[in-house]
Amino acid sequence: MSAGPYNYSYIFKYIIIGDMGVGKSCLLHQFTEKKFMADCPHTIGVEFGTRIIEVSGQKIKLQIWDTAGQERFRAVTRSYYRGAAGALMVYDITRRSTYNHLSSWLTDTRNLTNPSTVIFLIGNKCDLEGQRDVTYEEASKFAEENGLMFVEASAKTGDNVEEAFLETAKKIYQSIQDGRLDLNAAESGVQHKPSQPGRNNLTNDQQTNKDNCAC
Amino acid sequence: MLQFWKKSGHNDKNCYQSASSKALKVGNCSNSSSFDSVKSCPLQSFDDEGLFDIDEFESTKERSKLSKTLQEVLSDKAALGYFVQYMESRNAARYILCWLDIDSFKSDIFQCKERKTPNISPMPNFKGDHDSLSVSTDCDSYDTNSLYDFSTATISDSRVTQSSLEVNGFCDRDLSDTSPKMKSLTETLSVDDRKGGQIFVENALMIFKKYIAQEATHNVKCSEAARNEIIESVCDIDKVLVGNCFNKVQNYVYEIMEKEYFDAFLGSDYFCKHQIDVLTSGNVALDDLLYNETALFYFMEFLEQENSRSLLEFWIAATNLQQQLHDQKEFFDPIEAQNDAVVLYDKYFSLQAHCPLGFSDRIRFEVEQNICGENGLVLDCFNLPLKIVEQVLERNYLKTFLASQLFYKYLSELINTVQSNGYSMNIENNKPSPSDCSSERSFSTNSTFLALEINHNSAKKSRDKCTDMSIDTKQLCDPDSLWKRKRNHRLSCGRVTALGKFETDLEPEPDKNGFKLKNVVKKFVSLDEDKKREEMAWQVAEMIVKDITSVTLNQEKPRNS
Repeated sequence: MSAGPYNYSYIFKYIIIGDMGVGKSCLLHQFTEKKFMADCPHTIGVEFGTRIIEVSGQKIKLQIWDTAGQERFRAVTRSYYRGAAGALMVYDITRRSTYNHLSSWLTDTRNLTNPSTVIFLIGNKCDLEGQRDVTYEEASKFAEENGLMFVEASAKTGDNVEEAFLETAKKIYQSIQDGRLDLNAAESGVQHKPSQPGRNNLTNDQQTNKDNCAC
Repeated sequence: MLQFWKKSGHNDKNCYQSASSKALKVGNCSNSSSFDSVKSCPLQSFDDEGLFDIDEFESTKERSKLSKTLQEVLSDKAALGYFVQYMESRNAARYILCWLDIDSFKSDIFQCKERKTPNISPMPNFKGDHDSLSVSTDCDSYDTNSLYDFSTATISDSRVTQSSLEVNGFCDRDLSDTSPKMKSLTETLSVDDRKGGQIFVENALMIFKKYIAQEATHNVKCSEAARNEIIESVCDIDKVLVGNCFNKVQNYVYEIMEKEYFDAFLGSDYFCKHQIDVLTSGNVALDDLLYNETALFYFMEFLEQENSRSLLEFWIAATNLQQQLHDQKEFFDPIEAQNDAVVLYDKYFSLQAHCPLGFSDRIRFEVEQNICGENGLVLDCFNLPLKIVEQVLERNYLKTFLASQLFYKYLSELINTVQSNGYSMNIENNKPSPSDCSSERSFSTNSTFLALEINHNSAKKSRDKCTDMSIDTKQLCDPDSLWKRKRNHRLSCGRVTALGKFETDLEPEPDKNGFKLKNVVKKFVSLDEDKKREEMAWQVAEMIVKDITSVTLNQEKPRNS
């Protein structure tokens, strides 16, 4: 499970957004548990996941808020956008409507988060190539035009799931180093927490195994 | 119904399917999931604390003192102070001041009405007098607001005077047109009523002159129609006493503040200072953390460290569900809502739960009844477990969190936000480098060494050279020659050839030349050594000098013979 609670230097807050059924909770589960949930119940409001990763020698804890994609929960989940350092915007490559709604999700994200928030576009279910409904080039162009990072991933096979979360953290960390992300701002979604030896539960059981990137 | 639920899980599954037209693959979800399994034993002991009596859902969402709407800021004196400062920093104080003056004006009228209602008595024989409306009377029974006193000071302005004349013109015209009405009106007013009304008319005029008139010092720039309407209202004592003549302007400035300034205020240092005040007041409640997104972020991290994350996770999910159901009262889909509730039940309450919270069977039965009861889904089906979780969070974790490093970190970040903006870098000029001082030191050291050298050299010469008394006398008489000779010796220090010796010194005394050169070399080398080494060097030099002297004397004897 998660590593010792005091054995990290930063805490980054992530939100995962996107239409219902695109695989947000499966992506989170694949990232935190290294498993695929075949039959995942729909998310009610917000669910929560954590994991500790390492970026440039720094241990970073990710606090990931997985939001419900149903339209009826949208007003409720908007309250959790504030203060997110990273936003993972997910669509389903086999369902065109989920891609068409990205503009609406992006507008919400821009309006409700800090300008320094890193937004990562994920096209999930890339293992279902036969049912593809959105081309990589089209989505890549959309990401480039809006200043987003982009990758196609598969929560089932684990392809690029690790990469999406890690690249977001790297970019956030880079913003901190460049001074563009103000650590002193309480709503930046980042907590700077120097390690404190002598505390209990110092064991670091962070999983260092990384999935091979097939793409 | 309860006995039915006590049967096997297969029956549970059937019931779910019958309750919903959609097929819920509950079993598959249970088998394929392996979430955190965290039990919270204290939940068992909360059954009999009277929480069963809580059956009404609080329809209004609970608020955090850390999150404010504009209406809440206007009702909170502490937050209002920061908001006024913020509006001043944006050169928009006129809006908030206008709103406050109107609010004070209305509250004064309301209080006056309450006191005056039993005292109204008609005086049939009293006649109306036009001049009474323009007479300024002091009424001791009413305290004027300090803002009104400030308004009075501005009456001396010429522009305000012109505006006053204009308003008086309207008053005269209106009164002349409705003189018959004035008689009937005044017949029903008592002396006290007239005086009180006069005060309010004056106050209304002050607000008008300050904020609404075209030449107002703090013009809020409302529309022409609203201004004209107010002009007619403030000329009519009846309309003034109703107290709503400024409602349109008040709503107008409220909307401006809410649309153009309030969101920026929430992100400003002033609101940050208010949050710091709340967090350091010692009265932080659980709702302050649960209903503020930033505080919730830190509180969630704290519960994660305490291995009680599931409690808050359930609270968030159930609260969101109930909030969503109440938000869409008219468009409420019973089947969809029931499916949502079943998802949460399966995750936190059922016997195969992925994240069992440890509730007792009694609570679980009640939740089951609320979800799949005879009357269908109850909107606040999770109300009882929510109350229990809130009590557990408040009793077991709130105080610990407020004393934790995470809370201190949260507070210090808020403080740093305020300080970092007001911080100005003061670069102090470095002190001048000590090169000058060291130069002086080296110079003084050099001078001291030179003085020592001169004295020692003179002493040696006087002792060793008895036959050369004439030369010593010359050197003592002429100090400049001493300096010059030593400098020459040093300059020719690198050359030890016979030609060099002859060139720089007197021809009749070549032996002395060699003697001086060696002596100078020894002294020159000792420049770079410590005092202790200098003493050693002096001793060595004396020995060498003696040897050279003895050799020189021996060589001179054969020449003489």
